[in-house]
Amino acid sequence: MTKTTTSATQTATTPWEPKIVGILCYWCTYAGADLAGSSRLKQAPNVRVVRVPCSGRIDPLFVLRAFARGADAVLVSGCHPGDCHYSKGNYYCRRRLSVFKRLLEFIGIPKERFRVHWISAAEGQQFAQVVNTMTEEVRRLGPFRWQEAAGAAAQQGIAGR
Amino acid sequence: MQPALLPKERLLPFLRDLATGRRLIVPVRDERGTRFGALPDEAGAALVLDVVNTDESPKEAVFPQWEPLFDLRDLGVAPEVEPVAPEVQPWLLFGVRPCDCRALVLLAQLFEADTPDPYHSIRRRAGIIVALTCVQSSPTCFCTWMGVPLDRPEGADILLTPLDDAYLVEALTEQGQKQLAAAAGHLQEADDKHLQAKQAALEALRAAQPAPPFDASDEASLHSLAEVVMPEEQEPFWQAIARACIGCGVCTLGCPTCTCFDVNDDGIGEHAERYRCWDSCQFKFYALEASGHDPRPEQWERQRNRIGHKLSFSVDRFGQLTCVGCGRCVRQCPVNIDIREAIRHLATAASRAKTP
Amino acid sequence: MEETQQQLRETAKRLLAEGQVNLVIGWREGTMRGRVQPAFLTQPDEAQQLVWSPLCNLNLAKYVRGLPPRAAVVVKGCDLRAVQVLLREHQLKREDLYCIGVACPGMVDVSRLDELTDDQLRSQPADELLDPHCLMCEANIPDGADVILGEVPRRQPAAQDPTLAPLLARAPEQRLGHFVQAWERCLRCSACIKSCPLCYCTTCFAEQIKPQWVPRRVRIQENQMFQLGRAMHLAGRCVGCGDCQRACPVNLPLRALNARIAADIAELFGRWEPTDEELPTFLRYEQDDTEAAIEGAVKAGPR
Repeated sequence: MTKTTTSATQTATTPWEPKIVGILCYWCTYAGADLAGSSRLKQAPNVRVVRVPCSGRIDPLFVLRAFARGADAVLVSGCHPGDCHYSKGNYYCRRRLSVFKRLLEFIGIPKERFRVHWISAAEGQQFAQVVNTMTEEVRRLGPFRWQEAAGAAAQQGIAGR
Repeated sequence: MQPALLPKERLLPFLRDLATGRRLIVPVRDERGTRFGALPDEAGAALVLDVVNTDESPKEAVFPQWEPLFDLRDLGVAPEVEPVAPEVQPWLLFGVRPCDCRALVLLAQLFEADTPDPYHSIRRRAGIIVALTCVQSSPTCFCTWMGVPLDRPEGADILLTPLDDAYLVEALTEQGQKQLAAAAGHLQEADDKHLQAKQAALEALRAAQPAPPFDASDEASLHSLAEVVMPEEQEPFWQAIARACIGCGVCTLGCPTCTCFDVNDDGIGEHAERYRCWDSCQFKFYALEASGHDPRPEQWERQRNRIGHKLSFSVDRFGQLTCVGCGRCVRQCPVNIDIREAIRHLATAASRAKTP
Repeated sequence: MEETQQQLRETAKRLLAEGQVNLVIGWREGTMRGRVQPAFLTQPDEAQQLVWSPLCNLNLAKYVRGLPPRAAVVVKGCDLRAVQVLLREHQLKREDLYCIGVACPGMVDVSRLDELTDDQLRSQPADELLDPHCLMCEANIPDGADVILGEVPRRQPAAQDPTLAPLLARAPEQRLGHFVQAWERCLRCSACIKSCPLCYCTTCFAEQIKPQWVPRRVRIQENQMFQLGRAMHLAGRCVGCGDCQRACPVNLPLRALNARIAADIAELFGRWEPTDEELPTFLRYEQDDTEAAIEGAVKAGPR
């Protein structure tokens, strides 16, 4: 059986829901998320969680790959400055992601699509709040599709892609 | 069909009618440089006729930078393989220079050899090539060294030759002849003086290019050139000419006859896609084997491999050169490594070898 | 510049003749109008090949790693800065390299080659003919080189970055459209990586297959990872020489990314010079670093 499409894509048969990748540090935000869950707080189900040992582990490539694989937005969250389980991981994260966030805004990605928070293990309420707010904002913005951003330019090439 | 004349101002309407039922692809210019693409607007403003050859070659019409080969589903359970055939609209490529025409023929030769490559065949069969021969050379052109015919470019269906205020239009194949019928209304009669003007222009171009350092029409000459590429005594030459090489691969990616590709799998969960994408013998990991052995560990060996492919290995395999003298590798090399220097050196070495 | 060229040839000749170095890396005339080639000289009489002109834009620092001591390299201000970053990153020893500095009046914008006369390709460029990288240069005198040839005024960067200003004037969706349209044309050739003196990783993140961060498909999803990832890997290290931009066969907006990051770093954390005592920007932090990127850091409840 031969399929004649130019690439493998998923076809949407259900209405679009924001897909948010949440990269959370284990010691603070991940625990906070867990608290939100066990407290039965009402949260939008749109955040897919990736657990890292520390926000300092976060490579900007994680965020870019999430956007490459179809994420509509990315949330990064770690311990408050001064409370890092590894003392200073989140300080490095803060520097690195400050520049990275500015870069994404510079190239025109709406700032609502990439957010960095500090949420502690006790802040289950805050986690749920952030998840709900971010989901609504991204729902308003709509899906993030790279090809659409270029508009008609996508069809100009010799190979017709 | 008799040769005809097309007034220059009628070029665009002629092309649009000629491409009835097909996607019209022409040389265009944008911020990135010159390449082949669809005209972005009706007035045809970005059509480019003032460059001899485009920065990007028309290779992608038959061999895109990447394409899916097949889909894999239900991995882990009972994997299903679904081949993906290229979805190709019939196309008409206008403005292909003789060098690139030959390149497309060489690509077909390689892709059809042994086991025919269906991805290439489907694309090539869907297309018609309208060549535009050159009456001017650029400083980096050396097609005449490679014996590229300017009067009847290989593999083209229709040929346009720019004369003073008109194009001489000739059908080179039956398919070209048929296609011309749709645009015949734009054409006028041509006569002998136009044919002579064409010959004169092409002669002038041949005279304007630097003299070839070897004779591409002489088989013996080709073989003796091929033989001097690999021997140990030429190693110091290769090391010197490639000393500056940074291994970026732009020479191979811009080359209209380079075809190396990598095959990768990429997927999520139970679904994956196998695709192929351009690769380059200039990359460090290109020839690196799983054992850790690298047959070409030094950059100069990789440069020698590239140039050797064009002048030597293809002569051994197909009896012809696969360099078409388009000059893109020369123009685009960030450190100005110039294949013409290599050709001159090798030609000298070859003639010395013949007369010890 | 002709006088400095002569001094350059004499310096190279002397260094080789005296056996102070076994190799001099400089520029020589290229095979096309507007181009130079790297020259690798081992004999004193080869020094005559060296040229110094506003076409000598190639950053020769890319060749200094892994050389047997002692080699000499000709460096403009930006080139020396690249060498200094390599030294801070322990890629070579200072005593193994002799830096022949040339005071740089700026390089001509070779993308405008067809408009330039032969004379303009030989003499000190007027401001309007300068390569955009040179317009923002702050280090045209290679202070720290073993010798500095030629005398030119110290440059001050232009008030407005000619690459960033037009982009910042556009709305975000337009900027995104601009970058995405451009990146669709990225060939993933790696010319930018290979031409950069500071991209020297044995396995670039873009080439890695365990894991394969960036699949080799050439389309916007992957290309944006490559473009932004590369910009971030050079953050705080890029010296603004422009070799990447000139090497790119499809003229992508590379400088825009590097310049933007450099401007942001200067504003947020202060510009780092490789000769500073402090660690590079992202290898250190301050307790009071900006929190501006952190969304409403909401603190509530006992901890």
